[in-house]
Amino acid sequence: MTDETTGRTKTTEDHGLTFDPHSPDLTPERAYELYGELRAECPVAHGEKYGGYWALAKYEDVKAAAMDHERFSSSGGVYVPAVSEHRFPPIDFDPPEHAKFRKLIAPLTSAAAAKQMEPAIQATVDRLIDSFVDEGRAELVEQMSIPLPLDVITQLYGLGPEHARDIRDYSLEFLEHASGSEGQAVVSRVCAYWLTVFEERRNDPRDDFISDLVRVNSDLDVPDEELANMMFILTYAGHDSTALGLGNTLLYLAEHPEVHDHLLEDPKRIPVAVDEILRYHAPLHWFPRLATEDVPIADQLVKAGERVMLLFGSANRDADVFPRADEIVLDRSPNRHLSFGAGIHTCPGMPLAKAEIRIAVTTLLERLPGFHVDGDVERTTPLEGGGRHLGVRKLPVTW
Amino acid sequence: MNITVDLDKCCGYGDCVLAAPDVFDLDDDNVARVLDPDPGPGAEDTVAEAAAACPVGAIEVKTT
Repeated sequence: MTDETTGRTKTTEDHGLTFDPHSPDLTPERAYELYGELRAECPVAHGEKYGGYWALAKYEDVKAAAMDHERFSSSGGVYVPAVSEHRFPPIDFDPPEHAKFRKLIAPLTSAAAAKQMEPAIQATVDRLIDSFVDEGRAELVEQMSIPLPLDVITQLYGLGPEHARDIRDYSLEFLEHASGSEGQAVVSRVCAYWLTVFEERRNDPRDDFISDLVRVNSDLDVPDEELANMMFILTYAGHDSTALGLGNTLLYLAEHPEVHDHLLEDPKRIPVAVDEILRYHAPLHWFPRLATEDVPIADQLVKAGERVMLLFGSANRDADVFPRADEIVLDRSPNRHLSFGAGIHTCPGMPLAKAEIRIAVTTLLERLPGFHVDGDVERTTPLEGGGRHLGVRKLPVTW
Repeated sequence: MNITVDLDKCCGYGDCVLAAPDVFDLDDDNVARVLDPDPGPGAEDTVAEAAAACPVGAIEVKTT
C-alpha cells in the first residue's frame, strides 16, 4: 500500500511488523500470531535484513507464486542468508535442469515406490514399538519420529546401518549450523562423503538406488559433485522433515487421547486427520524465490531480482481458504494445505512421508492405547533449521 | 475430447490424479497415464481442472 502523504510504498516496518525468520523471539506461538497480523494488515510485507525480501502471507499469493516457476525462480537457493556455495538439485534449480533431477529421484519417491515400501515401514514401526512397549513409557521423538524416517530412507538407498548412523550424525550437525557460518563446512563434508559412496558403488555395483543413480547418470552426465549435493538435500529433507511432521502429529495425539477411539473406529479417518495436523503445523514454514521480472502482488510491486519468501505456514492458516483455520478440524475436507509446497517443487517425498506417518499413527494408536503426554515436552522454539522448522524435540508419553 | 500427456514434461506430481481420478493415474515409473482419453462432455470441467493443476503444463486437451 502507498502512504498518501509521501507517495512512498509502505513497508513492513511502517506497520511495526517484520517477519524475520532468525529472530530469537519467533516462537511457534508468535509466528502464528505474526502471520495473522501480516495477513490482515500487510500481506505482502517488506523486510530489510539479509539483502531485503518480500514475505507473502496470504494463501492465494503464496500458492500463485509457488505455481509460477517462470516468474519466481528457485536459483537463489533455499537458505536466507545463503549458507553455502552449493546448489542443491532439484530444489535450487529451474526448468529444464529441474526435471532431469526430479526424474532421477522418481524411482525412490514415486507413489508406487511408497506403496512398495509399506511392508518395510510397518516392520520398522513394529520393531521400534517392540523395543519400548513393555516399559509402559516412551520418548516418542527419539524412539519413533527420528529413527523411523531415517531407517526408511537408508533402506530405500540400500545402505547399511553404519551409513544410517553417519547420515543421522551429519544431519544433526547441519541442523545445528544451518543458519551459522559453519553450515558451509558441514555441507562440504557431507558432499565429500557422498562422493566416496558413489565411488564404492561404481567399483562394486549392487542392486540399490545409489548404484542405479551412478549408472543412469553416465548418460545424463551430471557432475558427481551435483549428484552429491542432491543426495545431501534429499537425505536431509527425507528424514528430518518427516521427523518434524511425525513429531507434530504425535504431539497432538498425545495431547488429545479423547480422539483416539474416533480415529480407530474407521482407519480412513487417520490420513485425513494427519493432513489436518500437517496443515495446522507446517513442518517447514517458508521457502524463498527470486522474482525474474517485475510482478505486482496485491498492492505492491515486487521488482525483478528481489527475493520473495513464501510463508507456507501462514497460508495454511488463512481463514479465507480454511474455515476455522486456527483450529484442528480432524475431518476437514477439502484440505489443500501447502505443507508440501505447490508447483514443480512440491515435496517429492510426499507419498512416502504420508505413508510413514499414517502407518506409525495407526500402529501407535493400536499398541499404546490412550497414550498421553507424561513429562516435559520440548518444542523447536524459536523456529530451528535456518528459521524454518517447526517440530518437537522431546515427547515423553505413557499409556 | 482428446487428452494427451507430454511424458518429457511429466514428473509425476499426481495433481491430475487428484483432480480427475477417473481420467488419470500414475504409472509405476511415476509418469501420468491417461485412463480415458475421451471421457465425454460431462467430464470437461474436471479435465480442465486437471490440466490447469499440472505444475509443468504437461496435459493437452483438444476438444473435437
